[in-house]
Amino acid sequence: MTSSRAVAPAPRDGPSSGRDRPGRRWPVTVAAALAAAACADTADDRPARWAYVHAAIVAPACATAGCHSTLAATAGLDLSSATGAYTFLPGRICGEPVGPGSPPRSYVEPGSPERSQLVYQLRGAGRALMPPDVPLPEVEIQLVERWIEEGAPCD
Amino acid sequence: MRLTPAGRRARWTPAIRAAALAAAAVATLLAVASAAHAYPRLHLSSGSARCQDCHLSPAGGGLLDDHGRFEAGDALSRGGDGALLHGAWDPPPWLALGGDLRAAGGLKHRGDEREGLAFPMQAELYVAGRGAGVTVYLAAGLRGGARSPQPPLVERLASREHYVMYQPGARYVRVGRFFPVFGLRTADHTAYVRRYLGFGLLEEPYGVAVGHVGVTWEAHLHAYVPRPVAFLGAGPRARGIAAAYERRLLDETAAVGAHARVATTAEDDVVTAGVTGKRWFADAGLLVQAELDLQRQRFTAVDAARWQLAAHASASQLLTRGLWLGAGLHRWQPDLGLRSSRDAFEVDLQYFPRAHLEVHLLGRASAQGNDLDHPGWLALAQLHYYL
Repeated sequence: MTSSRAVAPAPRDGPSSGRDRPGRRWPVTVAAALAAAACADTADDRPARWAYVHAAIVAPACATAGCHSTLAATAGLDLSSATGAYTFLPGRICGEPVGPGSPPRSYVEPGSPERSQLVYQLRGAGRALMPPDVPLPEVEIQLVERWIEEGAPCD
Repeated sequence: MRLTPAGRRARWTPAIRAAALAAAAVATLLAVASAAHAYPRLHLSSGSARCQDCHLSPAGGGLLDDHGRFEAGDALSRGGDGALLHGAWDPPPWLALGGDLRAAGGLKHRGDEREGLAFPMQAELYVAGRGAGVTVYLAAGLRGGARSPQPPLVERLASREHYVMYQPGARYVRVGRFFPVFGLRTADHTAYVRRYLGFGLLEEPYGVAVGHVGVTWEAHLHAYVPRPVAFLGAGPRARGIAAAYERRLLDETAAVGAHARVATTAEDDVVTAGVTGKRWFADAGLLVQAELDLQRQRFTAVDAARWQLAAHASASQLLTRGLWLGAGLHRWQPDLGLRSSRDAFEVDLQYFPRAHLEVHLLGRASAQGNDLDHPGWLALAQLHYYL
């Protein structure tokens, strides 16, 4: 089985890329953002780090109250916390080395998006689409792929 | 949902009818689940400018008051008795009872994938005690879902709303579990301005709210926290403060509003601000409404942030009494700096053939990233009965 789309890491900046500029210029930023909303197509400079991937993608899209939340835990998956979700997806305990007692990998194969079930589910490619009603935006899936390709670290 | 065949209805005594309806409600409750909001298209167009003209809650949705039940039969549907159990039994004035039962079926089509859906959508019962300006309110039902497998019944029990409210006049204080007054508050939990802004199914937080519901304006302030105890329900992960203001204009045929929210979790801080507008053109029988929200999400563990946008606009045409035709647009941009929009166009038909009954047909096309040539399609039919 191969990925339905080639993995193509996008260029990105370092942590201080200027995406987070606090200050007094927010009205200008808002206006500029709205003006650019219809035609935005800039390079993806988001950090491919688990802290970002979970807070920006997994928590709002997967850990909704009726799905993979603590209470519902559909299919036995509770993805509501970053550390808990990490244990389920790469099958590792965040911050601990892989050892004999580590949970089996199932959804994410670090370094190999094309062998990670999660990617197939996000694309609905030969697996049940997740989220089941509408797929994630392509740029979100690409960020998940980039995180996996970089070893799926828990950082 | 025919509960009593017309030919047999005359032979049923009020007590038997009440018992049959109650039994049907409980039986369905044991099989089903989920959520209810108000119908924003009935706001202004029904002659009621405040949600609380018809609902117990300042936010609308849930239990109807006496006026709401009267309107449901007299003005909003094709007829019938909107009272509890069709008037078969009048509860004492201090007690309000109700419930919502909803089933749905439909088809989903995206690319080569086709999926049929048929599922119990909602089964909830409501009870409220009222007196001396105090309302004690409880909604209870079962969590539902469109897909199998579902967890055991006991694990699906949930109460989306339970609160105590003190409202001696226009001002109120409310404590418990309920959504903040925020935006249009559409009944459709898949509307982008709901699902992507933290107002999805079972995401009602716990909190305390104060507000003023006046003749020409209303304002609400709500401070909330995540669920304090796990078994009380899923709820959101965030704690925060939400505020909303609405002013009625043009002899209560128009309304404009603004709302804002600050919320925080262990992973991010989110600031949301938005506006709403509504206009009812009585001569044309046309209601137009819109909501625009801008949200900034800042991630605490990494040096990053993003702006997000959610928007909704719709027009509803009252074709004849009890029959609405609507068309709407949804837009969600999870990151304004990227081409990551999600858009949807929908058409719906909402029909109230009798008091207590509703048939809702929805068709929706949704597209990702401006790829309008390859939309996903959803056709959904709902059957709704309220006690």
